[in-house]
Amino acid sequence: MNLDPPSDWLRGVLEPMTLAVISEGETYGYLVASRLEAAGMGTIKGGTLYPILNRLERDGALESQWRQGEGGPGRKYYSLTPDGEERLRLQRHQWSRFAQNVSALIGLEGKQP
Amino acid sequence: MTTVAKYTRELIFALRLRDVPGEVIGDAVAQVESHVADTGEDPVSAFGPAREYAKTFGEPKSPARRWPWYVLNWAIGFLFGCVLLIGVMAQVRGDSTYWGLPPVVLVVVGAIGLVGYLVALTLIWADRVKDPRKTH
Repeated sequence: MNLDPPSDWLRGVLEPMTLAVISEGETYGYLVASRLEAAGMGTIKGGTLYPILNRLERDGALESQWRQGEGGPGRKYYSLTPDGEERLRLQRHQWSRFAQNVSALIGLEGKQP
Repeated sequence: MTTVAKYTRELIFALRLRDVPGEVIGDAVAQVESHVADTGEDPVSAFGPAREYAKTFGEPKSPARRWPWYVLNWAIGFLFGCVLLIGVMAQVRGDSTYWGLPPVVLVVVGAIGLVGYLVALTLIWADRVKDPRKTH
């Protein structure tokens, strides 16, 4: 049984999840994707993740800095701005309420009468 | 298999068509290079076709906002072209002065104006792709 969430479920919650991962500490795109995969979200493609990072940065929720790696093409490290922290706080509340409501409605297999 | 170099070339082209600022283009290219170097993926399978990925950087500017720029360029080019042509004609006819000036002056002003304007357009005003990893 494939328990990876359908991709259209992911689309909506990728933003708060990305903010949450970056709030754990300064990180770059590939590590965000790896962290999400490790958290059971399946493979997040660059073409899905970077538009979100770019948008969050344009909105002022993230700030970034390019750092040169050894011989590699460098990495762009992101961290949350105060705006980003505020946004994450709000989305955490919104999510927790939404998740409760959805769970209550969908329920669990074992709970069905 | 698309090479990174080919993919970023296509991406630059697609972003140029959308009037994305040079700084943003440079950042996008560096992101692709950085990500693909970490994952070892084919750029197309990671980011999708360059033209599709470029769409995530916003809508292209409408042509309506560009036409005054085209008209201005055309008018300036036309002006210097006329000065050059008048100078050449006056020189050929053997006029000693035109608008009170020796024809040679008109030829020089027209020619330098045309070339100088072209150079200014391409070197100064063209928004060049800027690599965010190079600080200066």
